Amino acid sequence: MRLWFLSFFLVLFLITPCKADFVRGQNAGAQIASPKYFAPPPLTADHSKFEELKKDFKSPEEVTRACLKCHNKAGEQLKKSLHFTWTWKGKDGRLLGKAHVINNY
Amino acid sequence: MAVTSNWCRCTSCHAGYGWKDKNFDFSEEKIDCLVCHDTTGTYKKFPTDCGYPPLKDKLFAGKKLFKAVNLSYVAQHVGHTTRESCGKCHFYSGGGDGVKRGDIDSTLIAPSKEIDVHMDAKGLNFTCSTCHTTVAHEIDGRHYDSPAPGRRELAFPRYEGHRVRCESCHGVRPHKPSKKLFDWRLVKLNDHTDRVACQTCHIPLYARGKPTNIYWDWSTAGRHKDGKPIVKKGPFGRPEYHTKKGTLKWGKNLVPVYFWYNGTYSYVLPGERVEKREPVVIIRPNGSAEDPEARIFPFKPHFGKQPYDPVNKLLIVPKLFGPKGSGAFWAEFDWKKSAAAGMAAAGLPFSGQVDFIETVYYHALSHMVAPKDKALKCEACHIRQGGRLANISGVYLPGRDRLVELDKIGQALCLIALLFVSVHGLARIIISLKRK
Repeated sequence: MRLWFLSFFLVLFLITPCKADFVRGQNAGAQIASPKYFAPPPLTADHSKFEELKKDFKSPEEVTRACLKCHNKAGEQLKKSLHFTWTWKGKDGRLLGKAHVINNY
Repeated sequence: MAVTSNWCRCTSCHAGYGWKDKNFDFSEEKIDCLVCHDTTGTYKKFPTDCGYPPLKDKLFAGKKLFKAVNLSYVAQHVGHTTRESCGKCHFYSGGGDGVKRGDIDSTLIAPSKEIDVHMDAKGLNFTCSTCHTTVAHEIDGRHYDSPAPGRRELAFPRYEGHRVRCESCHGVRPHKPSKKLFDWRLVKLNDHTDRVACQTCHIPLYARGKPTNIYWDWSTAGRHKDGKPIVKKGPFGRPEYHTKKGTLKWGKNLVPVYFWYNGTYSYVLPGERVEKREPVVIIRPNGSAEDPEARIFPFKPHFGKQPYDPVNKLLIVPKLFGPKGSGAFWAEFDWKKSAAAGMAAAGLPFSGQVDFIETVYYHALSHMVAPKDKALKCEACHIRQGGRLANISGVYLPGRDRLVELDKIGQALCLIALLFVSVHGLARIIISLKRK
């Protein structure tokens, strides 16, 4: 009887780690990853239908103005982004970012 | 080198138009929407036009044709970013395919599972932004002295957090038996994740797609043969000498170096004094065994020899790109003129002397995750000598480290135990024989 009791706890002890992994949803990547799940969401607009874009653009800035006419918050967002500023204010106040650092390439 | 004084060449990868000097107008209309959102693959910026695309057919360096961009066509076919659109700049950093990073290059446009399990074009087919989650044009990733956002834990559903870390999808105990209910080896592997980054084992080699540059000696640049520039091709078809660049070394399928890393870097900036103790680490990962945020992480080291002002003890910002008469090294091949022009543009002093200094730049490796059967095995690190983590300090690494005294005590205890067991066993046998 005592042996049964002991072995029951032994088994429980052994399977706990993997059970716990499952319960906490660990490795969700392996569980839900599928090409469908990670595909970017479909677009909700066909840009070739917009009159604003059917122009003969003389400069790329004209295109940007056309984009920003509808995407009227994108300009402010981009102006703050590292892709545009190439500047990162370091925690110690030094200016970092591509425009300020030096490397050996 | 540095962007300052080389704007129009460097800013051909800027998400904007016309950054040609330090007075660039950072206004909205100078933003380049198309470089990221083009889905046609026809939008390419001209390499020396300060971020502008060619509006007429144009030759680069007299050889490579850049076709005129049809702005209207591209504008009508905008969409989500793709591996190709991000890659237009990021795959070619350092001046060519795979040159700088070692973990991203043009093979990622349509990689096999061998190259990248996540981007595998026939499998999961991730884009860059699958992991580099982006909200309102803010793209997740490490930024200089700030680690990538989010915590090291599951980040589902999608917008409950940033999803740029391995743990965002895989959690902190990622190894799970696929067939058996329980596998103690995987439990042990899961016990590593607090101190060893996923990348350490799962990116066993870097530069697995294209060769990457591992050494760049600028001091030899400028040589000519019969008045003509020299380009001498070496292994992998990459130049081992180039008049504009100097002496170069390349590598493929390379073993990373490992450091404690908390997701931040330290930089030596132009204008900061550097003693000539070679090599100088100009870009260094931060972290130590005592730092709870730090884990062991793989890096590509890039060794270089670059211009240095021995009097002011400053790294020199050289002017490389520009027309004749501007001091540009690639036009006049004179380091003193180049340094004078570059340092003046950067607003830094220059003594008139040019020396060369050996430097190292470490790149964290996070891309091109190999299939799991290619991941490092225990003995890659848990080995007395020559293991991958031979230089990692601050932790006791079983298999690598030992305390000879402790080993001796252990051996002695085993022997004593064996002795007692033998005596006891023998005694019982004798007693049982006697009872009969």
